[in-house]
Amino acid sequence: MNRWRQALRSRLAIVGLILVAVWVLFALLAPWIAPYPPNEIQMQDKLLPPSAAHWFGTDNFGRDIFSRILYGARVTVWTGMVSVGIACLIGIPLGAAAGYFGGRIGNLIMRVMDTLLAFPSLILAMALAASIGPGLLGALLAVGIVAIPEFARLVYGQTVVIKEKEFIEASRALGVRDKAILFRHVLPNAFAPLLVQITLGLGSAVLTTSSLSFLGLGVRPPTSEWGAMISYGRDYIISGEWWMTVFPGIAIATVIFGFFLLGDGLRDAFDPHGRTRRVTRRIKRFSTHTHTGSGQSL
Amino acid sequence: MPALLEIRDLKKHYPLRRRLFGRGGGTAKALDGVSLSIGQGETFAVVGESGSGKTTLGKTILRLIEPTSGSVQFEGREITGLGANELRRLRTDMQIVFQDPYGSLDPRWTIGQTLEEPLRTHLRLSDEDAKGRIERMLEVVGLSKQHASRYPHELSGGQRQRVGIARALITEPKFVVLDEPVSALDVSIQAQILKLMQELQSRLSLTYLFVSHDLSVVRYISDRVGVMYLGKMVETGPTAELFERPLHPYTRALISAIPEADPAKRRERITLSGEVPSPRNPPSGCAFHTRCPMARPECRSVIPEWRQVSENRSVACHLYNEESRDES
Repeated sequence: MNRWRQALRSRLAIVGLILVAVWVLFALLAPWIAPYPPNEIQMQDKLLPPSAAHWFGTDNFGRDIFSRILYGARVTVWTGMVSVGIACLIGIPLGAAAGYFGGRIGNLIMRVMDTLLAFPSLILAMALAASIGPGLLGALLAVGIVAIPEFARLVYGQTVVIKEKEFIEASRALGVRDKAILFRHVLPNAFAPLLVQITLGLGSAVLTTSSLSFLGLGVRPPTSEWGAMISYGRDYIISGEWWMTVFPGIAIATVIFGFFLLGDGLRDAFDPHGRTRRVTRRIKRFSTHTHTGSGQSL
Repeated sequence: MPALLEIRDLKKHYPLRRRLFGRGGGTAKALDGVSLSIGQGETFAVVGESGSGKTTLGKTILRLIEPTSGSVQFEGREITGLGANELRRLRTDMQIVFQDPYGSLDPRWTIGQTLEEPLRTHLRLSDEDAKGRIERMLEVVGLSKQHASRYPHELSGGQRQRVGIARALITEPKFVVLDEPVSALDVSIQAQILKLMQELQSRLSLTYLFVSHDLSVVRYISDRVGVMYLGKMVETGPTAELFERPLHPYTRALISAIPEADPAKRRERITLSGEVPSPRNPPSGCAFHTRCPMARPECRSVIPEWRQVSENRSVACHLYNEESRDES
């Protein structure tokens, strides 16, 4: 597959891939790498600056921040996968059905999706998370639901284009059933842009989950989660204990940066038309994301 | 020749959407009452400019496009009202070869997978049998069994069109719509493909509906020709006769436009002025009157009837009314 090779030739995409791979490895190997149990409270060691014993310092309960970040990676990887999984599982069939069969139902589906898209995603996620109830499950569902319209709209657009191709008409002329056409011809041909959207969606999901946790709508303490860690460290920035916020912040930033670089690399490889560097634009959006909550549209 | 396919007053009207502001509505008449019958083993060619409805005709017969009204009888059986399952079964008997050999094959499927799809859909064959049948079919259309593992982008246009033909024929249909099957190919390849289709026709006793805008190709391959203009059939007749002595002024113009290989032969060339009118808003009376060099006053207001003028020729033109034939 030339396109894969092309994606691998892009240095930025490689950087993205490495960043993502490293974090996934950290998440998998956390119990073996982490020097301390993540939730072990050592009040005598509280608020220690980075040192040889505590690489990233300790927090206000004396917990080792490096260990907590490693364990936090598990939560992050997990939330990303589950919420994007939810979004795919619901968004792809909705978009494909709306695009392929069209009609009144298709129209209705897409208008509902448009309505969801019209909300700033973070605000919507907050509202959903608050109504589902706090905790990791609520956050996962909220982030997943917020991402549904993105997938639905992408697949809808792809389906509308692909179903007009002659090879689809050829299959219809052969008497192939609609379901088979949809799953064997339409969706596989929409795979490339979907993969890009999944990659970018993972980045966005990580960000939204962290934001929810930061706001107290995500994981419950004492689970180590990066957004929540930043939230705890907030009060200590002024008193000089910067390590409580900076290290989880760097963790969030590198994961998201990794996903976005990878997604952009894949997109450039799969789309011969728009070979502009979109990374800078995405980084700009990334900074506005937390204010407006929007910034994931294609 | 017994009729395999009998089409009566077939219509396809597309409703035009009313715009948010301003006027709209009405219908575009892509097919406006076409009748014809195609005999077993015959090649019937449909010619016309783009927008004349010739492709719509082919696809409506196969119900890839649902007709608005009219009747299509295949082997004496009405197929316009068939349900999805019956229609699916009928697909093995009626097939289509598309114009664009690039767009009509799924780029992600190997040739073998593409040819397997119709077999899997309709027949319960073992993997062995399916494989054998695919390989035989590839050889029938002049490819080799090695091609089964190739992807469409690895093949030339002519080879792809051979795959398209193989796919259409692998379920052993009786009737095949050929929708401009050679117009996307190089001239040198065109001849090969046409020849292949002729061979296959006699070998498998196929009946063709050959849709084309290329009159020299039509003259070569077809037994009978129907000329379409703005969704209506304007003239039908046996190929040789129709080319020798075209009746309808539109047919005359089309035939006079065929390039003549012999420069000594001089013919009067009829040049039609103007564009094909839009089917959204066709001219009143005879749709061709706006461009017809022989138009008379009645052509503006009266729609010419479809009438049989000799044993096997029909035409829709006021020039061939009973009275006017007496005059001439």
